[in-house]
Amino acid sequence: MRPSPLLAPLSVLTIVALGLALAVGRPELVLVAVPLVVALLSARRLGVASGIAVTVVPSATTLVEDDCVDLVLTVASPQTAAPSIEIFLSLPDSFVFVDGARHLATSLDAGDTVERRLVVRSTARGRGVVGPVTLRLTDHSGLWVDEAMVASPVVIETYPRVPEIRHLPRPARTRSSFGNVVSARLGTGLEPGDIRAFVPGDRVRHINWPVSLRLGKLHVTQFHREQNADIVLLLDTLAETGAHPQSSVDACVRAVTALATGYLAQKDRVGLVEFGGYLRWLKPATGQRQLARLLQAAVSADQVFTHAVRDLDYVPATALPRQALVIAISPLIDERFANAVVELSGRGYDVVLLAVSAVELTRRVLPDTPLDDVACALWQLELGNRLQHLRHSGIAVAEWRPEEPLDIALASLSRRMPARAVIR
Amino acid sequence: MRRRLVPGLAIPVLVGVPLAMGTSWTVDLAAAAGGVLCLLAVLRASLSWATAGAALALLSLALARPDASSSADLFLLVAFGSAVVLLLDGTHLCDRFDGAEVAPILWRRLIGLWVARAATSLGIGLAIAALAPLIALALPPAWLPFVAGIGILAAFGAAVAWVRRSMGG
Repeated sequence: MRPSPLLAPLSVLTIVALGLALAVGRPELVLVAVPLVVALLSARRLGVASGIAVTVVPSATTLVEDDCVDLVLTVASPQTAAPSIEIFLSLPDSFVFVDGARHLATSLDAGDTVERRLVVRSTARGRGVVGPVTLRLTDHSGLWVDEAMVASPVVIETYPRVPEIRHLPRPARTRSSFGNVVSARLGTGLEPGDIRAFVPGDRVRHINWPVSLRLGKLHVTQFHREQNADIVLLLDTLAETGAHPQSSVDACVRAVTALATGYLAQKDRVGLVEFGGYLRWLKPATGQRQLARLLQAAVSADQVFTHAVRDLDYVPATALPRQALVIAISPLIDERFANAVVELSGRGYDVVLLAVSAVELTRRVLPDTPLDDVACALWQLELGNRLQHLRHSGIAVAEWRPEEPLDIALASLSRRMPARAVIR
Repeated sequence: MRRRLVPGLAIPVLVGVPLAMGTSWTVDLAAAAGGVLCLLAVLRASLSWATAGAALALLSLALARPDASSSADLFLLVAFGSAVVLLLDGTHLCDRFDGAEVAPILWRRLIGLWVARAATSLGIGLAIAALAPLIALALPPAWLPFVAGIGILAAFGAAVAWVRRSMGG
């Protein structure tokens, strides 16, 4: 327990009033000091703030951007009365109150319990820690206070909102497992491929009767196999521009989650390599568990700058398989990422670059001046020039402006069906 | 924002009472300066500004106070003291509850406390006003300043002792 900031001014003014009464020789001025003395005398003994029980229970611990969560705050004072109790709930800045406030004040009698349901909206991806709760207990007069931190923190993870996409870049190479990607290989499938002469052992239902009648000899239709593929999403976290939650890394992460969700839905194996200050990776795998792992990795993805030159050689071959389609997602701010993409392409990887244009994201946080307009226009030109250079290097490139749907950018990456190169 | 303006109710009393009692330019100046400081204190929810404003208001009252007392003056003086408490307590509360969601029960209890304090102060003021002439009549005039000084010191000592006991149990 300690005196509040109110005690000193009240005491000083009491002394001033009494002193002035003596100094000017007018005892009736003592009457002015009476309310001040009464205020000082109204102080009461205070309980201990740490004796008050506080719990914070969220209705969910995993959210998607812009989702709301209920926080049930329960305050109980089992032994002593709490004439004035203030509750400061520690929340990340990305949580916005829909109902309630970060700072609550109430009054409790001994044995009372107060429950308050707060509604907060998570506006940005990330791992948010709710709590601990700081309690400030004040007596009736406001002259004595006691503070304590109670309630253990609760972690709430906010996943990025996944934009719906229909156009996924088609992998050039597939794996041997069954999937939804039409492979260049011929075998069992639905997509017609080549036509060849009938040989003993061919299924009768595969006989192509129009061709057979025209040529006077039995021919069969061969089909492309439908297989799955390895997809590796290469996320650039070397540089970031714009303001969270609309920064370039946030836009890249949204693209990563959309692509991961799309590919995993068609039974492909999806992995992630975070290329930044820390080189982190997730080996390609399929299924809902892998989606959860990817989303968790996306939640914590953040820009970490380093002067050290990162090298993809550190990534094990199992995390970056040779036959994988590598989709690099980057705002192309740091030259080292573009170099890594060119190097991957040179090594024979099937590489697609999704360039996230950060010009508009940066423009939003800059003051509206002609100089910034010119700078952004120059940046846009430079970005276009860099993309052109990468296209000349043989890399499929699509530019995505985050203010537009991702599907528009991905549609430009739609590839043709695989060539009918029959592998016998 | 409306909540923040509540301590501003004390300003007319803090400025008006000295101006009503005295007419010299020093009183006007001190009262006006005190009023400006109190207004700043209310707008900024600053206890320091409120203390300075209240001190100036007290000074202006000391300069303005005429000699003889009456029942109306007694009420004004207690109201002045209560206004000082309202200004300090209100400013402190506004600072504490800035941006907070305050439960209605807490407001009810605080208002009850303020009313009880004002009523108690008025009762004590009435008692002092009733007892003071009797003491003045009973004692020789040379003793009166000493009795007043002892009374002031005793009251302040009692206040400190009370607060210490409240704090330490």
